[in-house]
Amino acid sequence: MVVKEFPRFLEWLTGGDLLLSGAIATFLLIAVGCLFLGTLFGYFVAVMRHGPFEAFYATANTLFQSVPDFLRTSPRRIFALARLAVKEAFRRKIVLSVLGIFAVALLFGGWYFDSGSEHPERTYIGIVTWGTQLLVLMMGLLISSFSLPDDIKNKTIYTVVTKPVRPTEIILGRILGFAGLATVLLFIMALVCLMFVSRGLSHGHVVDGPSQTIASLQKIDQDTGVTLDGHRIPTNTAYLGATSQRDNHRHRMRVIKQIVRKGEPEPTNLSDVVKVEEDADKKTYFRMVIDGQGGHTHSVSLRPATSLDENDSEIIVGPASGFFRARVPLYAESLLFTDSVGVTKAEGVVTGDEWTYRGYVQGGASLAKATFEFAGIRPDRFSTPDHVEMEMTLGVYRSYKGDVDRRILAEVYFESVPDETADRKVKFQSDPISFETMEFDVQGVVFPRSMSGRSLDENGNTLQKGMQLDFFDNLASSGRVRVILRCADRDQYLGVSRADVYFRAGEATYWVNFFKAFFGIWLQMLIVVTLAVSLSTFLSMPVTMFGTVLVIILGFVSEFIRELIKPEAEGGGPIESFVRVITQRNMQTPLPDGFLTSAMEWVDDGLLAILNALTYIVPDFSKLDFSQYVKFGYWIDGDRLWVATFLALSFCAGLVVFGYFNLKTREIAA
Amino acid sequence: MNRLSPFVQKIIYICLIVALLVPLSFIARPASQRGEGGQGDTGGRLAMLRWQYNMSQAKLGEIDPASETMKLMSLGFRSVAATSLWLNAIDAQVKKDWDQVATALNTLMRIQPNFHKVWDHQAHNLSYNISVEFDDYEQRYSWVKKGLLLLRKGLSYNQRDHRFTDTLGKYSGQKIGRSDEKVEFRQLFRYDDDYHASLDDIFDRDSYDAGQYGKDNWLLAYQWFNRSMAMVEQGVAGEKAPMRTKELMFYMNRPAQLRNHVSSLQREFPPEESFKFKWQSAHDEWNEYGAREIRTSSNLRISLDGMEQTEMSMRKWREELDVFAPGVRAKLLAEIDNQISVSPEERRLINLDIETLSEDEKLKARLAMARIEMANKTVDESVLQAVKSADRLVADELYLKIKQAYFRLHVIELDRSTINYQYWKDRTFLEMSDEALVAHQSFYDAHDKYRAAIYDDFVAFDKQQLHPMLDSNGVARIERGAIASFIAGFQFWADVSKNYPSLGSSAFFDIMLEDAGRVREMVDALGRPWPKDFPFQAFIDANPSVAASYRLPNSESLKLDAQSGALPMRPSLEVNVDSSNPVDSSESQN
Repeated sequence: MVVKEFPRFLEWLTGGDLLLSGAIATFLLIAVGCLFLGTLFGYFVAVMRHGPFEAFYATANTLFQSVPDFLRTSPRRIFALARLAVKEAFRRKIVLSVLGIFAVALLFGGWYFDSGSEHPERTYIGIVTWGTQLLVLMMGLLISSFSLPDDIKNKTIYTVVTKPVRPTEIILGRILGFAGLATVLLFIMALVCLMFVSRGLSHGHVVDGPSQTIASLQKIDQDTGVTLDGHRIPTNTAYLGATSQRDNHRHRMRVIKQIVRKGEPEPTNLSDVVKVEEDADKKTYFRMVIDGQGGHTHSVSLRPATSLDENDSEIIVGPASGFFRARVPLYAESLLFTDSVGVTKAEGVVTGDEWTYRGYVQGGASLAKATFEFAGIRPDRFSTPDHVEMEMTLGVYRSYKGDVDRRILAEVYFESVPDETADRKVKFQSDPISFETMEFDVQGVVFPRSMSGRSLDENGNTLQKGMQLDFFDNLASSGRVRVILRCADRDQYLGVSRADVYFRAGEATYWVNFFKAFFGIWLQMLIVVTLAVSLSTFLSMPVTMFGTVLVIILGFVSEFIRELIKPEAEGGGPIESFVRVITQRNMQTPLPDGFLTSAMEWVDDGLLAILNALTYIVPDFSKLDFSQYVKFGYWIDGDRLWVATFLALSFCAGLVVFGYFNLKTREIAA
Repeated sequence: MNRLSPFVQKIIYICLIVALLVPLSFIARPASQRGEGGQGDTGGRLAMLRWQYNMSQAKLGEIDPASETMKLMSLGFRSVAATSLWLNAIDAQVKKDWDQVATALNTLMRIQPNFHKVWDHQAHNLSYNISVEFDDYEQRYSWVKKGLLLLRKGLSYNQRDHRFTDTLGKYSGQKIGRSDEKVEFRQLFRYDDDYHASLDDIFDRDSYDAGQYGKDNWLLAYQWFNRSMAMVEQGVAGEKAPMRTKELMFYMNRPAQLRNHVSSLQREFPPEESFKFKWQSAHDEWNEYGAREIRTSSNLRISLDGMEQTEMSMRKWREELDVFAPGVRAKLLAEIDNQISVSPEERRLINLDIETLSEDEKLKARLAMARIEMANKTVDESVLQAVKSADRLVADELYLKIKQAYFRLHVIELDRSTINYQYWKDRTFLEMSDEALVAHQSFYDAHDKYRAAIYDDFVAFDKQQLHPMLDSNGVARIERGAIASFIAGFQFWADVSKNYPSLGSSAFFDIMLEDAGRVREMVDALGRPWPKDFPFQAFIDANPSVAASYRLPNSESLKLDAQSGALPMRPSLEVNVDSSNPVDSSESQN
């Protein structure tokens, strides 16, 4: 999953040490600016209507009247108007149409899913959130764009404005009504989507073979790590088989040997134990496991569970698990790279990859490493503090073919961050653990709380070797700990970004996370409804719809537009691009010099500047989209939600004020 | 002013719509699936046009509701949607979001199911570009298969387009059989029952099963190319598929897979008798291909084995032309001989076997031959000019025939060289021999011993009896080490290349230089000089750049070493490079 921003809400809001850089300061600055410009614009419009002196009084009057209008806005009247808005929306049958489209889409949705996908949960969640977003935004747009222009056109607005109702109440009532209706609809959709995804991904398997017993599995005599059919298997595999094929996949079933030496705690769950062999100094448990495929696996048990006869126990493959996850990650505060000569940098080695999200660490060089520094590492933040779970999504770059039979090797170890105030800055460092990387997959490593390591002085000299270190008491005693990652294969490279290595604090409730993603859609819908209502105070219905659609599109593609505007982007602006298309010139071919080309570039510069400005005025909808967290099984943290909520509400507040003045001045004009 | 009531207007509109629907349904009627005998409704005019131009599914049984719905839903913005999906797939690929790539492609294929290039490009993307992004060979293999499965889906939409089966054959063969991970890929393929099951509706699994060696990707490739040929020659549902590639390449694909199959087996398994028969099949099919009449890009019908016949015809026509102008040709040739001034040295080089020449000598010989050839071409025209006007009509005809034969020879030669025709003809022929099998056994043993670091010859030792093994004369049996085994293998190919010059310029020999590099590595490790009379020395000398990359010494440097007094090999370890005494196969196999 790509995570580029790690917001802390309060810090983001207040700006931390730099007060003026906070969101509140920015918001106030924009609010004052808009108020000033709006007043100026209003004054100029009034000048054209009434002349300069009367315009001054009209503008001042409008401004002063707005204060009681906002302060004396009655919630009761807002709710009454909201009820009217809901009734009106129902009359238009838009809601029913949207529900109908939604139902049809779900009925035939299965046709369009890629059943061969390795992570079907990502496809399912991606499509349902995208589809719902589209439908809800479309519905929000339709119900709120028609309302006011139709009322004004049909003069039914007079039945409202002749009553003691303030313009703020008319706007807020409509927004509340339409948004409330859309909220109910969105909630229903979320529930249905959750059931649709659960049902769509639910599946079972049986053992592939003549019987549902271990007889269907093949005994592995040699621990070469590779099976006859060319697959790699862990060397503790005693039996190998497979499940039946279902939804274009099957799982590998293995019986693995788990050795428990005398004095070590015995396993408590024996439901998957096929047999037990006992020696003088150890017990070997033969456990049945099912390997994961894509994003899920299945539980397995044996019936009767207590049987030690390897041929009689019936293997029961359980339902799919692992599709619906909400891992709670603790991300690093910082990531620094050290190159092969020991220089520390913010960026890693560039391997020529077009996508620069990950930096790379050179393998085999003793000094090259990636250092992740974590803060706030306390036992109470972990659901299982007797061990520490870390997960990684690493990238790999092979600069030469190397050994194709195995994946690239990496090493990881922990290092304490001594308290700056301490007199004697002794550092602890755990012994490195080697592992084979699993590119493009979430790779979990479980560390026992107690691990071997050494202590070092301020200069990095070893003070004591072979120490037994406690993760929380020694390595993360200050609440900060460093995770150091190295590539063990000479001249091969390991790619990491800040979000690629994290501690897994626990597992949150999936359906809550699912609804959080829909909360993002709700925020988007709220903006659309508010925008459409505000625009409809002075624009006709088609223009309101067009304007709102434009803002939605700009909101979704603002990042793409900013990419296009960059000076290094090839092909020029809109007009130049059009000319290149019709004259079949590629983006690199220089255009002939001359007045026309210069004029075209000049106009393009202007258009691009406008586009650029627009991307900063419209809300960035991608910041309100949390679907990727649910798609990839990560918990949407509160900070992210608060930031999104503040952004959306700020924008809506501005739009309400904008709509109010439009309606107010329109009323004056009328 | 219209006086009709709105209700009546609506009725009229509905009637008009229904009236228009009747002819529309008639011309757009889809064809029903044809049976084996080609029975079935051909459908309306639109369906026939769709079938003819392969534009969309024209038959009821072929129509994919998901694809058709998606096309309809795009409301004429299909190209916009397709472009957006392309961009989406490219962006996801850049960001390494492979699931998103697969999803975008899945949708893309549904809205552009009859656009060959889309399938071709994206299948290549999956099998070649995305697969190599993965570090694990099992995941790589899985993405190679995704490309194959995509093409397979494409074939179901485009059943008369042999480019799909061609590409399936190409990827099944080359991507699985020639990648860096070919050994692992082929092993995974061998036991990939799920993939084989996905092909059950097309091929009988035995058709690409190599017996004890299991399912073979090259044989599957053979089957795909065979299907392409059947598509073009016999047709699908009674209609022949149009040929969309050059016939030279199209007909080459199928026979090429058999030799690839046996070449791969030779690398992976100990050589055995059955390989000779596999080479025999490869040779027979190659000959069949050589005898096949194919249309060239210059729209000439030729056969690759037709050079000799064309030359004979040309000679005959020349003789007939010479009858009308007796003695002119001999006189002109003598004059030209002087004009083009081919020196005695050049004549000597032309008459020598080109493979025995140095690079400089080869160049001289080729330039001289080109001058003679150019001069000869002008002779026919001069002979024609010398013919009396009474005989001119017949002579003109003969001259034209000679000219056409010239052109035909040129085209055949060009096509033969394009596909390395003679090389494969000779190679498949030689590989059928017992001697080649023995040479392969030597190489196989050499590789085994090289991996086990047994470089030198050694005394065979009976581990049970704890004493050296004896031969029939009661003398301790000496077994070959890796160096001697390599040299024995090289000896065979060095010998046969004298009689088959086409082999000398092949990539096969380049690969052998890699093995020569291993010999270099081993003699260096043993602190020995380079073997005297190394069988491939001439080839090493002729390919200095490849040889240099393996640090192989050329004859000049060996001479200098000898002059400076480099040590000979130790007598006890001297290896047998006598070609008259190749390795005994039964002994080696033990």
